[in-house]
Amino acid sequence: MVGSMVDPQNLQQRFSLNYESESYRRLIGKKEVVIHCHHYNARLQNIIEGTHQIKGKEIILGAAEEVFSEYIPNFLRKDDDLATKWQVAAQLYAHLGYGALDFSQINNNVVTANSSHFVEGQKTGFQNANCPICTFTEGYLQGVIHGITGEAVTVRETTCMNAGSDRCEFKIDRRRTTPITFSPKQSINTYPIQSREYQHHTNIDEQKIINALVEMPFIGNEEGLLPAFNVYLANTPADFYNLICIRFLAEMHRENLYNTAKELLLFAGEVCALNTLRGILISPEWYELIAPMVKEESDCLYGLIAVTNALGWGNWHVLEYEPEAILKLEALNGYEALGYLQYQGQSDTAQCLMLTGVAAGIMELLHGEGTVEERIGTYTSEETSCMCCQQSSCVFEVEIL
Amino acid sequence: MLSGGLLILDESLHISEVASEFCDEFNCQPETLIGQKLENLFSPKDRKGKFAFHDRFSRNLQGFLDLTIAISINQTEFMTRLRMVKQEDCWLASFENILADNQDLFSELYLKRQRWANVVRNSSEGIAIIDRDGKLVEFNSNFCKIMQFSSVHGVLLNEEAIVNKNIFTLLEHQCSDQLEAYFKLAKTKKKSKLRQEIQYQQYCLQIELTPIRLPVQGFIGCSFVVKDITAQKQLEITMNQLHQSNQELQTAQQEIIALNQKLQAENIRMTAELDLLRRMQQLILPKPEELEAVQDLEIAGFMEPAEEVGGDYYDVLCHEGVVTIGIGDVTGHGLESGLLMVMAQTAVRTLKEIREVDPVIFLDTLNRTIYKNIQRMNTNKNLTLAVLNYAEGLFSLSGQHEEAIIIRAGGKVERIDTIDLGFPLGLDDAIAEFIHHISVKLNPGEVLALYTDGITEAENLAGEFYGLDRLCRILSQNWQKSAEAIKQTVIDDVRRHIGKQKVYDDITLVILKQQ
Repeated sequence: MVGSMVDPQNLQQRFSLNYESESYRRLIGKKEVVIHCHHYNARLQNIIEGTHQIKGKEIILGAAEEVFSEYIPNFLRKDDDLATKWQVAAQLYAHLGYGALDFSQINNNVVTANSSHFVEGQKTGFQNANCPICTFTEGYLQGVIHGITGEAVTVRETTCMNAGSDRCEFKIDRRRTTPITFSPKQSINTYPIQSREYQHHTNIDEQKIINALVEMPFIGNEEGLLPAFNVYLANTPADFYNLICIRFLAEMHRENLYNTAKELLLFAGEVCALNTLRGILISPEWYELIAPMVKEESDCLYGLIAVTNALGWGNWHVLEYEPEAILKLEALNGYEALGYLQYQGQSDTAQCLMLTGVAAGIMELLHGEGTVEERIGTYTSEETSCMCCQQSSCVFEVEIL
Repeated sequence: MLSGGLLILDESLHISEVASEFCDEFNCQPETLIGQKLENLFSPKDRKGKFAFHDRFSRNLQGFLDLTIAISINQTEFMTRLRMVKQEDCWLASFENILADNQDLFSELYLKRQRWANVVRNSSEGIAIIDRDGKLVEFNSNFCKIMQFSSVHGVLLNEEAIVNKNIFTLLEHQCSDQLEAYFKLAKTKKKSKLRQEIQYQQYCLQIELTPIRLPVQGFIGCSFVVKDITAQKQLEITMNQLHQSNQELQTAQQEIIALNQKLQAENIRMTAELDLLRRMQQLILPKPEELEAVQDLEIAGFMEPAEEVGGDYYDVLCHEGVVTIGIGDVTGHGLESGLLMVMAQTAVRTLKEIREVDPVIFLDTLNRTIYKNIQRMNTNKNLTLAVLNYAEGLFSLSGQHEEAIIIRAGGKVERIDTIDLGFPLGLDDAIAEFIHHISVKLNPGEVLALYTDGITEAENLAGEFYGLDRLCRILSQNWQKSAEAIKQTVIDDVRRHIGKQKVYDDITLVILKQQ
């Protein structure tokens, strides 16, 4: 790599978190990021790439490429030399919790990784398929190379730790002729409802939980990984999730499989909630921060809602709760709704599939019995109001089946 | 071969044809179904089945699906086995009613599995099945909850992630070697159940490994039942510790009893010795006949120690016409003070015997004697001592002690401060410069009283001192009585004042009445 290395500590301040407390939004590099765990990331990838009727890998690749091509310039300075820019790219990847990238051989068109959120996610979340799994990283590299140099390249993983190698290796092919496409984004008005009086449980101090979690440094460790709450977390631009879900639904719609796509995305959210929130409930962080507040069984719900709000999923609150029977939640600025409005405009149907699934998953976690497989599907959840449909907020109603 | 009620679906899974068997089985009319999407038949209550359908359909490459799913037709729910086969330009879907009256083997197995699945799900133990390679096949939620398999970063492995993983690899080898060895043996030899306790992470687990053998196939794996007995073990350890502590306590108790018995014996012995010393102390006090032998003076004396042995001193010695009266108070009371008192008495008598009449030499020698003994004893005690020499109606008083009280005729009280007449004995080896004397003449009937602070500082229950004023008053009011009567009156009054309060100091009183 040509040029000199900058002290990583000096670069670190470029990635600092800006938390908007009124809207519970997390911004890094002026872009909204959402914290999701390996359960959701790996399952989404599994669903999208596993659907044989469409080219799922290209959806993930294209979305990552587009998002990070636009994103990386936010962290660069005018006087950064090329070496510094690669360093920024590597450090951003690690900071967000994706793993550790080595750009030292980029001049030979090779980038390597010796730790990966996606590989760890596959190992801890699925039966290992023993095949290359780092599609997101391929797209990330395509995106940052374009963002740094202006060049559209193709990056392919040639060895993968998930397939038994000791590191992941990515080869850069500079013969690409197709440019990177960028989906237009509309600006949207400010959220119709900023806040409302909600059903609060007096035992749970939601603000204290959110403040504590915002103070926690959810950034990659020395391996660029973010193990916390018994899961691997990663900060990912909301645009990425929105693009892959919107495109997956669109592709499946073309194959007359729209409902299949919807069910799969909904279940992804549901399974994510069951696994992630269960991990949170038995984590040392929960025992230290939230368990002391829990005096009754129903307190756990409010604790979990506070945690999801700190993770930036959607500023949602409980409207109605009857333990074991009913749950009604309202989200004021879910990233799914806002992202759909930005990329697609208005819709006739509700679009917040992740939150719909999570709502059901929360009830199944708190009131279900047995393994994840036994609990899943025991509650039904419906988004009865959605900002994509010109309504003022998104409302999710969950009932026991 | 598909059996059951058949439907033919187009590429987009809309129903294009309905076999009559389907309508017979599910009590419906074909025209109500044709044109509908297949998933419209799925019961909204079976979300699990719906997800399984979509998941398998999206991944399906072989063109064949086989799953159980509930369907709802004309508001009636049916649990069915759905099998779908891809044809060239359509799908064939067959629905078998699992819960129909004429149940086949599949239905029977389905129901049995559902029943046992419920039992296993609700078991408080962790239950898993491992195949002949030691890989996890299925398990209940408590198995995952107890085992909590994690990655190297402490992240919990998902239920999906542990399926098909080797259980002995997931368990840390140091605690599973014996289990693995048994498992390997069980493959080839008929083995009965193995039960073993292992330490796993911070938990103690009881594991039961039971081979599963089927007809024809033989050994196919094991059931792996795990119970968290950490609390139970902790309780056992605590009980053992308690038992051990109990035994130690019992041993200690025995020792204490023995020690107590020894102490009691010691106590009895020491009490006897103290009692002896007290009696000895009383024995060296002047006898009544000695006091009566003193010419021209009526003398009455009283000493009562606060404990078995006191630290107060008084003596009356007659020798060649000179009466020497001494009164003193050793600091504190008890055995050590009593010994010092006896030493002082002996020293005074010795000096008297060698006819030492100079008060300075007398007290200085006495002081040096006491001082050197105190140094040997390594004690910090000392004593006040006043000495009166009486001859031919004249008293010579020296030494530092409480004020001497003179009651003149008519009850008039005179008090003599002895602060400048001496120095406490035993504090310093040289006190000659501090010793002085004064002379006092008593007229007939007049009284001189000597006492220790055990009288003036006697406390009642309210914490009030008896006081010098009250002593003077009593003496003044009773001066006309005999020395013995005056003494008794004062002692009675002091006792009245003390009441039920504990006596903290020795009480000594000497009354001298001029005849």
